Amino acid sequence: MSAPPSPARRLLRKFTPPGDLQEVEGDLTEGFHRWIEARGLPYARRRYWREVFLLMGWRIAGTLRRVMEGRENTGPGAPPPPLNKPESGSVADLVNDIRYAFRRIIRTPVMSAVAILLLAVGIGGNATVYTVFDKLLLEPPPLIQDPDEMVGLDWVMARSSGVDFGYYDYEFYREQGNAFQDVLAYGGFPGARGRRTDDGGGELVVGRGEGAAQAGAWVVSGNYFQVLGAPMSQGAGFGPQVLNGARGIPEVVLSHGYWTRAFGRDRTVLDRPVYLNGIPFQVVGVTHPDFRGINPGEPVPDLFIPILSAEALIPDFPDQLRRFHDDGSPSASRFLRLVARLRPGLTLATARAETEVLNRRWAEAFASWSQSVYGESYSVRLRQEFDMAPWEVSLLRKQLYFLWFVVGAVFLIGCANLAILLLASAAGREREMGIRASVGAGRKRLLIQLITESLVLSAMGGLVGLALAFASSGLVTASVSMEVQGHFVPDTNVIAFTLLLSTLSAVVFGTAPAWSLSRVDVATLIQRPGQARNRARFRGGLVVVQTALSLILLIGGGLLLRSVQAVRQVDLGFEVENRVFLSLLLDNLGYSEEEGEAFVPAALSRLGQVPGVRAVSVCNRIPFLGNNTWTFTAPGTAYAEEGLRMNFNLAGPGYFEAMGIPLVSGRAFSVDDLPSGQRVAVVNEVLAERFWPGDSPLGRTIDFAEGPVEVVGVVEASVYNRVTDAPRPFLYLPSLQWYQGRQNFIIATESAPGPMVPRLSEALRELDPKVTASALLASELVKSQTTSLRIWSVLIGAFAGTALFLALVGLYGVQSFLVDRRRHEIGLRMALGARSNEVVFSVVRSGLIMGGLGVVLGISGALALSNLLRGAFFGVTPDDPLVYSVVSALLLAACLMASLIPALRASRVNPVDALNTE
Amino acid sequence: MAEVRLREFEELVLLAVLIAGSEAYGAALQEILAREADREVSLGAIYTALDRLGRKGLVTSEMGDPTPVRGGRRKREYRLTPKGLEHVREARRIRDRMWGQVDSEFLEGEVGK
Repeated sequence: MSAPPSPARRLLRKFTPPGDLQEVEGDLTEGFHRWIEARGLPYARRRYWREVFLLMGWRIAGTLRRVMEGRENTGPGAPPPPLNKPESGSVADLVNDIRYAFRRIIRTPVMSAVAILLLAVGIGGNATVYTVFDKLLLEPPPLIQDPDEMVGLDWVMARSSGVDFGYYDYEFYREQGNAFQDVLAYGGFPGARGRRTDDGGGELVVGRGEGAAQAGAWVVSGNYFQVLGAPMSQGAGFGPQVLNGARGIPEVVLSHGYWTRAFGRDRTVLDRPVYLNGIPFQVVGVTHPDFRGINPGEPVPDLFIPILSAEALIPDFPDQLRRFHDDGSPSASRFLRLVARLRPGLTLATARAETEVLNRRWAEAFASWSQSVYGESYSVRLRQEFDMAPWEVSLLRKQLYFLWFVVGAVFLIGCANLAILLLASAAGREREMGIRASVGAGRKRLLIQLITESLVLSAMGGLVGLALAFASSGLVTASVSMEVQGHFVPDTNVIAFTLLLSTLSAVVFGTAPAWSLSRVDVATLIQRPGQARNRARFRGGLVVVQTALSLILLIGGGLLLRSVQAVRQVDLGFEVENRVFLSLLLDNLGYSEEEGEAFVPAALSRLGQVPGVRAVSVCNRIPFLGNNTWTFTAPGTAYAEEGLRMNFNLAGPGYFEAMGIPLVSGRAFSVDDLPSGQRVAVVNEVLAERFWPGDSPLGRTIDFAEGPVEVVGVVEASVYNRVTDAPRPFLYLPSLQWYQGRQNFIIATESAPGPMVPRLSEALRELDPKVTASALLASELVKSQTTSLRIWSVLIGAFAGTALFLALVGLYGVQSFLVDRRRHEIGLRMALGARSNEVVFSVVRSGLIMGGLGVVLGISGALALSNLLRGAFFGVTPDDPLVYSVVSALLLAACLMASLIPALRASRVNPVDALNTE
Repeated sequence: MAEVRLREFEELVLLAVLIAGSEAYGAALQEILAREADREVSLGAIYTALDRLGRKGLVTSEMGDPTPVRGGRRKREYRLTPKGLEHVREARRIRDRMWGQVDSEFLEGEVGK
């Protein structure tokens, strides 16, 4: 039998006193089964959730009511019922109230400014984070018509599934898919000879001669923009030939960003050919500036090339598009993702049912192909394409929740501060309220007026906050775009959200003071203001909560700072100082394998002659920028059968020396490791230990699809994909034995390599004038790895600092207020002989007690939260005692300071004055 | 009798407790209200009403036995106090007296005509 949804149950347990749990859970469980019987499981689940939320709501409301009622009963005797006058015209009252609120704001400029600023920081921060949330997680990417109609296609086999299809599949589903209006395909640009570039889009050389540069490209089906319904900002998009799948003049669409970057928004680019890898293409369109493709987690490419136009760039491309090669052997080239638009009004369920028919037809038609390629047939499954959060954003989502918690806490602290501030000023307004009540203002009337004041304040805070959100959108775009493309400018959703927050804050900070003020006893207030009610306890509670919240934030900031520090200190296993990479894509320059194999050694020796170069070598992959992965087996080991899937790199002679990777035993690759010789490999220590624990790997054999290789050397481990990775098994193969079109020259220099780049590029052009290489400093590589972490720690640190400041202002305010209240008592004590340092001590002590309570509460809160954030930090445990103790000590010291000033003021109280003021 | 004013919903819950007899606990009351009063109310609302009734001294409760359909959890069984019973009777008397004076033709006729 089905069980109630467990998250709801957990929530329930959190919010229900243990004594009531048996009753509540039992009743809910019983109800759940009844609901299943009566209305089915989905209803029962929804109903269960609703019941849980309502239970929590009732409980919170009950608590609040009891608090209010409790406060009502304090004080000597119940207040006499206020004079209830008939309410006058409410619109006129509202206008009056607003006018009055503005007058008060102008009359108390400092307090109002502080209040508005407090609100603006809280509301602005929340609006900013909400903007990112909204754009990234709540909304489908912009400029896609009727996104609900879009479904993604997955292939599914017995034990695996995936999203990459062949062009032959695309043709089949487009022709046969009755449930679809149309199907589009897109994918990274496939390299020549069927090699896939797995780093998003392949790179092409754009332009000829001097001005040539590399650009990232996708191949897309001709109907890509049409099916999405995405408009062009320039040009008409792909022409009828491309749309109909016919071959014609090669066409290309530029992304708006690339058009801006590379062509300075030159409109004439549409009128002339652009050379891609030396072949003329017609630019037929520029995308809309907001177009972000289909997947918000993926960078938009520079160039969109129709699949059929790509034939001009890749000699054997037509062969890759077919299910069977010319010689009849099956092709398995799959590099496209398929997204279909459902026929209007068709539900996903119906479309899925129709897809079953399609799957059967597919299995019949291509049984022999799929048997020979996969040993089994695959079927297609549909998924809602824009269903919340693709896998790419899941990490970011965690960080965003963290950030939202932070700004939410700052917002709450700000509200608590305002409540304190207003309560303090309420004390000064008791006489005013008393007078207003005595001349006939009803309690409801006073309440409305006070809440109007709060609303006017919060509306102004909201406006300033929104302005802050707009102002910070550039910063946010910069920090988030490290991982995701997109422009994060607040829109109407955000404005609505801000409005909601402003109202909420008015309720949060305004109600308590308004409530207490509106209940004043007229006679008492006019005669003896300041003694009507003691709100110190309530305010002290607010200070404790503020301190706790800011401690949590500070701990978060501290942990992030430690993470940044740890990342900086990571031993990469290779050197980054004075090293530069020069990237070449020989395929794109039209090199054949033979020409390439001749060019590489020539380039190595020419680069080595450039003055200031210490060492030079070549590799296929640059650390942190994409990787090669393959499964390798080792005969006679635990990995003889299944093998080990791992990253590998192709490295040239002198590679380990140039990279500064120490050789542990055996030898490195030499210029003699050529295709004709013995195939060899170098392993890192981690792999050696994994394959042959305790044994020397030298002379052992490793096997993979291309045949066996002999291990000739062992090197120390180095990080490869991410700075934060633990050392992994890694294999090097000699690049001279396995030619690839992608050649990255690594050059170790004697001084800073930046100024040497032009000379190095020139050296390559001496060998071949059409060579264009892009340069990359190794130190930049590492910096980019820590960028996002740094930005996050700065952001969190800034918010935590704000929170701390606000909390201290709150503490200071409460202490000052208390000291003023106690003037009489202090004066009396001093008159009776108390020394001033005793007075100082007693005030400071109460501040430290509030701070200490806050610290305890904050630590327990941070510990409870830290488990949720385990993945967000690096090189430091989320309960790092150092961070906790340092931050706590810091906070207590700050509390001491905040209490000291009012304490000193108290000690200077003149007993005579204090006693006379009564 | 001390003057106790009840909201309409509290009145209904009180009656539901009476109807349920020895089986008066949250889930059962929820079902009775759905069946007899045509009201889909949340458990939260029922507990709140029971809490109020309890503080007004009209109902009392004690923990009952666990049952399998509740996942082995015990239930809290509510029943009317003498004061609660008195209140219900009094309310019934007042209503009966007033209904007795309503023209019976009005009761037969169609509503809204």
